[in-house]
Amino acid sequence: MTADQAPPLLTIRGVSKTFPGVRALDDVQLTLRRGEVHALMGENGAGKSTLIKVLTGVESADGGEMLLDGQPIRPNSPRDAEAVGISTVYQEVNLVPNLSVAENLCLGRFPKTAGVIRWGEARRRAQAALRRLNLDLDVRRQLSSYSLALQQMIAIARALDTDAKLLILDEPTSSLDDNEVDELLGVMDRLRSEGLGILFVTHFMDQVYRISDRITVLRNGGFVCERRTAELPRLELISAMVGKDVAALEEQEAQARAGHAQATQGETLLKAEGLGHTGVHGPMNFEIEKGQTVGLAGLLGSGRTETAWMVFGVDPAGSGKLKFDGKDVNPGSPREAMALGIAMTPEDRKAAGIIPNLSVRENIVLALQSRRGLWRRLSKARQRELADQYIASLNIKTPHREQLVRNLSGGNQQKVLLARWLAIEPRLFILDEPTRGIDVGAKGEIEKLIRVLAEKGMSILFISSELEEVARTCQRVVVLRDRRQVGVLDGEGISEKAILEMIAASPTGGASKEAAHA
Amino acid sequence: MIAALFDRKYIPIAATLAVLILLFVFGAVRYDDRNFASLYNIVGLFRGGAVVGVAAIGATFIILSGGIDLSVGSVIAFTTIFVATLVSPEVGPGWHPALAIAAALGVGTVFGVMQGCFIHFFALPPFLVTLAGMFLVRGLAFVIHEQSLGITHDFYTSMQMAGVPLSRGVLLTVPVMVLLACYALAIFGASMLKFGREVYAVGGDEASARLMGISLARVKLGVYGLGGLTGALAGVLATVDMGSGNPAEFIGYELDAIAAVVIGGTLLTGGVGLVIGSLLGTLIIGLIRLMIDNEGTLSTWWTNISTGLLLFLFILMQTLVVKFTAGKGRG
Repeated sequence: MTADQAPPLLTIRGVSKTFPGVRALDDVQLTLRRGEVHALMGENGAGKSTLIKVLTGVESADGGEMLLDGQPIRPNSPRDAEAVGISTVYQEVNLVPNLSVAENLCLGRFPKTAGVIRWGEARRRAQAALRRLNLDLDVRRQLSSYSLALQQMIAIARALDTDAKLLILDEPTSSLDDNEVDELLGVMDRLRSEGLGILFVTHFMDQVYRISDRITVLRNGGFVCERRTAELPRLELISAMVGKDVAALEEQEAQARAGHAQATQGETLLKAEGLGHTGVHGPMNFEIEKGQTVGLAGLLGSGRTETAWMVFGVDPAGSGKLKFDGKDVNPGSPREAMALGIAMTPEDRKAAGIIPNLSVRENIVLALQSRRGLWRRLSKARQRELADQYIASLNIKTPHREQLVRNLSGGNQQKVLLARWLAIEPRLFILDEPTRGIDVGAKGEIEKLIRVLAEKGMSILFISSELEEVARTCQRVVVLRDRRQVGVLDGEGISEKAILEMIAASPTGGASKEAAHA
Repeated sequence: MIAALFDRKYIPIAATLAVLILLFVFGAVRYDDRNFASLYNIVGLFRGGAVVGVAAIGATFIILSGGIDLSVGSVIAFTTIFVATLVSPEVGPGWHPALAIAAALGVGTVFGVMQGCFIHFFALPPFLVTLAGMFLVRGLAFVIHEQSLGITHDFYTSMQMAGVPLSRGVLLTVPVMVLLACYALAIFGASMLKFGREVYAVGGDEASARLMGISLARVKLGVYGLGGLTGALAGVLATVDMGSGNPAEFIGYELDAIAAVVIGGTLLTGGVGLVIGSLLGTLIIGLIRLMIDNEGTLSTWWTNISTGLLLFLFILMQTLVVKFTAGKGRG
């Protein structure tokens, strides 16, 4: 369906963009044909987001040209881009939650008579736009009363309602479950057969291979290659993205497997006995040894983060016992947990961790300074030394230590956050989804870092929704389902398959599931 | 349609209405001997609330868009002395009042738009910009004329006397009719005009609204301009009420207007609320004042204490409603 001779819908040639201190795009090219799903792949910091911003008029390019249907375009705002036929659906649903579905579909283009909105027609038009995606919703209800997946669909319906020729989907699936992803890919397939061009940006390799016709790979702001999906094996794609050859990747895998065999000191650091909230969560029974990496695995909503919160004192346990280094403890606040030597990086690094308007150095010394108290200020020299040390040891990609953290890519922000907690030298380090939304290369580096820390005797509680990653990184895995512990896997017994089987094993009854949702 | 009435977004407004009715029934029973529930008292509530009520319209739109306006009290005072001076043949040029009123409305609007420009184009916090505006305009009011100045003109006398008689001794005065007309227009604008819906959208999620192609400049300049206009109009109504202008009056009226908006169920975080709520909020504050007057033994400061308690209650309730809504939305 995507013959090479089909006329290009979008042609990008030699586009460049420089931000203070960062060359975000360097001579990038891309050719997208009508009726094709074109995957844009690359690590974080590869330039995907910047390219999309240039295409949608949020940023303007420093140089190069863009042609849509053979006509040169240079949008100055998202509105401009929509006017020429480029519509975008972003990772976070960019609609207004407090307005109705109909308003969200019609905002900016209400049907009016003498300035007065014709609500009847607005609703009909909204319904028609939704029907194109096989959706039948009450358009008068508030947007926020629908699930994220439906909101995402509504955003797509809005994007298509502008006579779009090109639809850009920027990480549309990152908050959807499997069924919802299937549905979205189905919609993409149908739109493709209607002749729309779709630019699909995602981290999910499976989805790329299921839906896309062609792949363009970017790296460090530059163009790497453009290939037909069917002719690009996965391993080659990954090596193009991370810029390492295939052999190096295989070696990395082997190294990871060796991690399972890693020796621990055999001494227990943390022991949870019946930890939980009666009737709601738990009881949890597990041990973490010194220098051991223990994973919490389960599906979304299975109670992984909540378990970590009990250990870190965010949400003190209602029942059960927690032993830390042989002593009974029950941290009532993160402050108390920190005093014991426990640190945690939260799931949502933007909301609850990184401070974007402070520099890399300031972000790194924050936790250490806070523990010392305001009166015993770390000297500038010591701060600089600490920052440089972690920038080097964690391989944080920043032009210098005074760069504002908001200018770094997601993976590097995560590393800054890790450095902050490493600086207080915790004995137990809780990592909640440290690799979410970051690219393959940075993921690999963070996994490697975890192994190095464990070797030095630090204990780690590791949470990730990617079971493969948990299986690769941990020496012990606690498996959760519906806020209950359903099993523990050790050493050689750990594999993605074993975890999945444990999660999927028939529950004791439908009742527990109901209770968890109530 | 019936189901829509039970929509979550109507919970705060329903609570406001319930408070208003409860207070009124309570007053009617307790002060029955003084004929509390008379038509005279009801119209009196509207008369007393006209100035704050009109100023609260602009405040509602500003708060719905996610902003705040602290300059309203000063704008009202400025307008009163501005009009009084323009009309006066002794200290001013002796314009016809209609011309003076038109000029005052124009000045108020331009001032509001200027505040909007600072807020939008220089990305300055509305709190600080309008705080500066509050001092600036108050000062300017004193520059125009230092003390109270009476307005004597046939036009004003006829405006003060005019009205629709409802029953013996009860008159629907010009300020009350202006108040009701303004609310009718504002309610229509908020629900039926593009501008109104865009204000809600910007208050709900500014970044998304921009990506959806809404001009933030138009919305921001629009709401602050409207705030200036309704502030000036409130000032004009005050001159009709007082028959004079005074640069030292109306201190703290901006906070009364904000209180009326919040008691009316509009979230200070923006995006949620109904214009009619601000009228109900204004009436509630007036009703509390009336009840304390009737009580006789309580000092008038109890009005402030009651308003304060009511505000606490409403903010608490809104937080709970928001939590409840968020919990449901995930399902």
